[in-house]
Amino acid sequence: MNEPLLEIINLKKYFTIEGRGLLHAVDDVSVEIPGGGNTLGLVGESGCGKSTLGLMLVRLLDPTSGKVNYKGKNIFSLKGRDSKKMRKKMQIIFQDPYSSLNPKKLIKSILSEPFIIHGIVKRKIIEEKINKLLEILGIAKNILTKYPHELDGGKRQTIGIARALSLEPDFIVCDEPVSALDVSIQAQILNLLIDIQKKLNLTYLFISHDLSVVKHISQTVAVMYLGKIVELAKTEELFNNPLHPYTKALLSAIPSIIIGVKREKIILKGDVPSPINPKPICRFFGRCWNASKDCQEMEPSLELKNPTHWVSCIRVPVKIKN
Amino acid sequence: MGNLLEIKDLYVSYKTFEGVARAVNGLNLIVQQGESLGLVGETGAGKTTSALSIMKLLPPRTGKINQGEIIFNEVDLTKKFDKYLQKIRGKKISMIFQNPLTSLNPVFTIGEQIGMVFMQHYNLSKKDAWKKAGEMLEVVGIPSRRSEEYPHQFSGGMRQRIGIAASLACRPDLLIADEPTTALDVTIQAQVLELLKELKQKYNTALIMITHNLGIVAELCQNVAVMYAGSILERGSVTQVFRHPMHPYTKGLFASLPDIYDKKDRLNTMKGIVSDALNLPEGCPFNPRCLCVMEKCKLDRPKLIKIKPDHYVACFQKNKLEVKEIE
Repeated sequence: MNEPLLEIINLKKYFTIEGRGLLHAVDDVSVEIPGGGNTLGLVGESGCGKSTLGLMLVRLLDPTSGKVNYKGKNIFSLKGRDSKKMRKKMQIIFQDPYSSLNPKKLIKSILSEPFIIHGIVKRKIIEEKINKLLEILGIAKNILTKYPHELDGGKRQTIGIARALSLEPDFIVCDEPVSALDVSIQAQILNLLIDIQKKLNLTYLFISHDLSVVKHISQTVAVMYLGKIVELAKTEELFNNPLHPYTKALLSAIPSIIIGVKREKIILKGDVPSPINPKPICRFFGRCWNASKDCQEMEPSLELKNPTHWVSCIRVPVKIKN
Repeated sequence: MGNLLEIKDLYVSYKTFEGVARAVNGLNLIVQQGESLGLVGETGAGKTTSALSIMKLLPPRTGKINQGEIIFNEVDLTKKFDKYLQKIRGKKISMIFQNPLTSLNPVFTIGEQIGMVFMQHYNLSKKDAWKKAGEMLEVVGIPSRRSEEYPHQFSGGMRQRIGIAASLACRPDLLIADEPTTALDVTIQAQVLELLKELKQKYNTALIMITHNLGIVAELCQNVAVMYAGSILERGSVTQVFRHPMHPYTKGLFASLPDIYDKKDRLNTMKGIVSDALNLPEGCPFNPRCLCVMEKCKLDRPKLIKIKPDHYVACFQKNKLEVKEIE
């Protein structure tokens, strides 16, 4: 296989909570994200560390320890000009299109800003580039003289996407880009993201709590629970043959619109436990419906259980044919 | 079975700085005893406004019922005033709100808050009410010793359970759940839905489930009503509507949803955006976005027409739709 675009190695982020200890937001995550128009979906419930991980990948947050190699170079050791160059290639689309656009600025100046920051200052060139962007995204030019509040949620998110695309990145973190939108608008944005991915050969990390959206857009899916990746596999494989007890419960919990099919439900007991000072046992132990004594012995690590299927659970047998 | 609730031709509007927002426009709805009805629609479809109108909890100065009747147990609630309504609210009709943190009072213990329902409606003493509150908490799976705690000491899912406990305390005839699980995680959502399903059966309460999530309706409800711009475009049994959606809007909605048990190559998109309540189109509210719009749609407003015993559609294309169905 060719070299991955992004290599995440033992990435950790702990936050100190006054008087309570260390919050393990992202705890020892290692994944490779292949380049060339792929999407890695990242799912998990609120507070599991998805966004923290996303922010670190574009270096909006520095980790406690660990590395993220972008084309072989650790992004956290880059400085000055190199760091700026790297940022050009890695962009982020935020969840809330209301708070991620400056309400005092015209759409035109919001879209010009990335160019100015990166040294493209000639007004004519900027205008040309913006026009090209709007053309790719299929937006009419009159939007440029409007303010964010004049646009609806879907259009606003499109501007968020335009801004992320402006510097021709090859990697974009999409942090719940459709969660704040209505179903009919959600479909528009998802289609748009898929279209431009094909057109521009982009790689996405698509963060969402909505498994059906992730299934639709991703080639590979990682499931996160309390700061750890508990399962990682190709989309088809993960949805057809989930192995981790948490993933199984998560899948069975989603209400489906296809009626008349009886599905077995696994209802998890209790709430997601606190990520502050977790015990060194399996993080899912307290809620697991398939736990045994051994699960309290040690923290399981992400292991290859099937060809192309990584699971972090000691109860899942290894099935690799040589 | 009799009609528990019948809403006839309801119009509700809000006064805003930009003008009059017509949130509900000619809503007709029937809920029978013990029925579970899913009320679905996108943001601004008027779902919550309809619910608040039933409870008469619209914001007093800005919200107004302009026309229509809301008949509950053979009494028209629109003609009644607070004194009467206070006896109904929480006892005969109760409501679960979307955000359990804002719908619970932060300065009272949850025992007091649930107890208040009993004190108000059954004139119980504080001590008895407290005891009853504890029992109610056990019903929703929270140990009764926790009744001394305050809302902030509970997680989101637990708070919603408390909301359910308070709303079902008097075994109401009708429970209106307004997006009760939207703020919750999927696994917690599954817990809360399971609890609602169980308690609904146990108490034989009729349920109006307001949601934008069609999956929840499929799992929880017998009937469904699809709302758009303040009126119902399609109504029927869940089996019928989900298998054979008829209205162009409902069809579009289903086609634009990704589902984990279904592989769509490309999602369908609907042109345009949800119509603005300040500036509603003439005729059928969906006509600017409809793919099979006719001249007539821009002039008249279609009424709900029965096309099958348990399926109603408000669309002039009814005949054409039926033909497609047979093919």
